[in-house]
Amino acid sequence: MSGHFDIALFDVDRGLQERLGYDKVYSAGRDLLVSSHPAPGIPAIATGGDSGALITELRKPDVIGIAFDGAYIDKKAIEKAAEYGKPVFIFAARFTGLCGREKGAALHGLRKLFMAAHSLKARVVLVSMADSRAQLLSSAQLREIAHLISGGQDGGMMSWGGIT
Amino acid sequence: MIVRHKNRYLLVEASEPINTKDASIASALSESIGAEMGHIGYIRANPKVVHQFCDNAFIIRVNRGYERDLILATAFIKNIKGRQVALYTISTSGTVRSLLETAAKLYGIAKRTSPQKS
Repeated sequence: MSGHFDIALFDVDRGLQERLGYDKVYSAGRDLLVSSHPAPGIPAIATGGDSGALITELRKPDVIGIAFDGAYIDKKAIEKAAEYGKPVFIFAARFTGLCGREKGAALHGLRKLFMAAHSLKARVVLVSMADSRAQLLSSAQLREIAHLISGGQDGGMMSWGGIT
Repeated sequence: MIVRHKNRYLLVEASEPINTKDASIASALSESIGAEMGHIGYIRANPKVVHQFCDNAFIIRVNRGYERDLILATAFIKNIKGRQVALYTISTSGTVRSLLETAAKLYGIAKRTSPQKS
């Protein structure tokens, strides 16, 4: 066991979770919600491209973090996330399937997001958010992608500590 | 002084069964890795499948120092020979033997003798 956690959009069988090096792969939709307007009572990651809405969601106790849509980055929302001690999530499935320049541009955008979060002292967490087995990644692969995005900086991207 | 050439070995699981002993599959896999690593990176790393012990798990040998590049490359591979296949790096080691021991625990297969030298 490595103390690593991941989130996928489907149920990953226990054997595969262990082989991939995770303590647990949470199932989005069952263990937690990923939504722009998450319902109360269930842990959730608030997503969106609107700063005001993300900041409003961050105040809710069930919201465990935020994720930006596409290449959108909002420093105010990141600042608020840092203030509330909640991480900014990056979903690896959004860029691992891209090709050539598209992938390069996506990774460049994520590096900008990481640098902005790092300067504002917000935590950044990389999860696969895979919608199928083809999008899943092992913990070693997530670690290397995190290293690539953070440029190997000290205090780079953290592994997710799971739902507490 | 002669410096010994050292390798690292990666235990890799595919999301779908693939037969790396099939030359066309092995070639497609090499091409996919090469596309992600770039020609120079591929030459430096010199990755090669050295052992397949079940339908969807195999061991790749890589020059020491380039294993992290290979882990990253495998993360971005989603397609091999027109089939949607993902590769997960399960473990890394300096010897095939220890990876086979890991595989024996993870996949419940009987411990095998060392693979054929290639």
